[in-house]
Amino acid sequence: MATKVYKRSIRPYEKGPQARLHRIIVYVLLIVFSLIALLPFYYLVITACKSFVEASTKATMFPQSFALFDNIKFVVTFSDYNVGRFFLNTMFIIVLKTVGTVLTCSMAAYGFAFYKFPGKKIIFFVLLSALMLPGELLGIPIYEFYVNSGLREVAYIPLWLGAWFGTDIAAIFLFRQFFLGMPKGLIEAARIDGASEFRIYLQIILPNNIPAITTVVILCFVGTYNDLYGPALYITDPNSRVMANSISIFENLYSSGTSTSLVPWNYVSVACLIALVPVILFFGVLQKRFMESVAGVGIKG
Amino acid sequence: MAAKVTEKPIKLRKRRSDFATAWKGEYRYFLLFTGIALLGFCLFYLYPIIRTFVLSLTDKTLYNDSSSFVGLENYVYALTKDKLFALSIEQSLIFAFFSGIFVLVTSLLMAMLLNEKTKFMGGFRTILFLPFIIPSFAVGAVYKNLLNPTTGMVNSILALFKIGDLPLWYISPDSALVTMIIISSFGFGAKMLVFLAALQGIPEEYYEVAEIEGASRTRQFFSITLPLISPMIFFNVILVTIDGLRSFSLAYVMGNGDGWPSNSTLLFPIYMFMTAFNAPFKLGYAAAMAWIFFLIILAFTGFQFLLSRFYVKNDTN
Repeated sequence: MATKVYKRSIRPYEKGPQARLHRIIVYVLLIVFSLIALLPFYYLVITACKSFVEASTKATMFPQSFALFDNIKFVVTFSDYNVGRFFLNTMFIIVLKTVGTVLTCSMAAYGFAFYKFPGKKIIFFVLLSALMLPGELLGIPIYEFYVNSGLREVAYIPLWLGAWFGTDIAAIFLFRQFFLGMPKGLIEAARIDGASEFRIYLQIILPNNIPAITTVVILCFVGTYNDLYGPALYITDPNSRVMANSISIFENLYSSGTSTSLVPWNYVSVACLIALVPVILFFGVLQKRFMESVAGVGIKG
Repeated sequence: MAAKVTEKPIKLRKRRSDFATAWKGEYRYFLLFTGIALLGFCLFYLYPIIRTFVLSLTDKTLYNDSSSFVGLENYVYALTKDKLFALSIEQSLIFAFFSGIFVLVTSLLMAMLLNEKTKFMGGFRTILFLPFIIPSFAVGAVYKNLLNPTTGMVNSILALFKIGDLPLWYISPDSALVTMIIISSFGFGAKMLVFLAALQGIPEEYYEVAEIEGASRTRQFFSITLPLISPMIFFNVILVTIDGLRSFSLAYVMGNGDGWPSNSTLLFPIYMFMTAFNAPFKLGYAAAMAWIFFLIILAFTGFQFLLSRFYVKNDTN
């Protein structure tokens, strides 16, 4: 129950002027923070509505011109901005990465959770401590490998191949935590009934841990969608851009590398809004589950 | 049935005594299931660390196969001669420190506000989660637009108050880093959720008793709330420290990928990115910098662990 997390019993003793003052402060702060949180969105939307001249010369808080449809038309038909392609590229990476992460990490977690092996605890501790390693330390040899092997530009391999080797250690940890909470009897009963170990994993462990899978899928989706480092590193062909590095097309529309030149904010805003649509839809569908799972992870962390 | 179940542990104990039978049973399955991840660990963690260290002792560049061993020269050069390296580390530390404090304070404040029992909480909650949803690559673009000195909304609001000189925000080298710190302090999403979860774990009775005993709200905050969520504060401090030192996306967008204007937004990850992955692809030198950086992160994390002894109250567990 998502609502359970946020509801709280009313304090019966909260009465009198002091409590009222407290309540007023809470409301004022909530409203102030809400305005701060809404401001970027509001500005994004109104800038998307402005004409090019207005957006790049005046700081109007209410648009004096309305060119939303023209802006959208300009952005969508702009020859370099192949948004359908960018979106499919992004989804291609996300799907491969997420499926790989869920499969290999849950398998590893299953192994760690239910089988004995000499030095298992030490192995797991070593894995976990690798979480602390900064990507900067690992990135160079991996980059070197992908460039030298010629795999760099092939089907975004550098962006998803690692996921198929269970490299998302946080996901392994998360799965293991969930698996350890499962009743042992369930697995033993299946074993007695003659189910193979792999079948236990596939038909008992996975179906009984849908919340864990959802959590990993959400984190993987958002993480990949927002990732700028990987695409900045491995994507050089303008046609194979992903959503994350598509906005810069318009930011640099009238510049040739110099940063002080004119930026057509109206087009940039439209591109930002377009990039937001998939995330907003994704969150809209999975919001409740997301709040639950992240709150749950927080407690365990 | 019951007899069968009790039989099972005995069977297992027998297996454990003999390695060969254990290999056929549990050990084999352990390797079967974790094998891919263990191989991945070797390929994507173990090998890169070793290789980075080896590289750091050479003058290797990406497309140059003939590299020579230079010993600790890269390290010495980075620590004594490279002004940009020193600058990027300094700016990363400043950024991590201030942005970390801002993020911690805002996320705790937000979590406390969202933990209140008020009307319209559902609406406020949705609104306050909005910044969490915006992808970081879009955040940079939106704030650049918002803070643009001539066409941005913030300065036009400030102009209403007739302030003499309006800030130049990210355009000027003097204020670019501060601007980035301010923007990053809105990135409280995940930390806020952790705090919220911790706050909700505090039994309501504690506050009721405190209220009856006549403790003020400030007193309740310092004597009940803070000690009880201190393990989560520590967890967030570690997260924030590492996040801040490793911050890349925002600086990449704000500084156009090269620390613009005049290196004032040059954080270490950006500088390393420029050194290793742009021409002339100085992998060896970048590897040495990465190792120094890693040691710095390690030192700070260790320092946080030491500090945590003074404020984390672990009597619940």
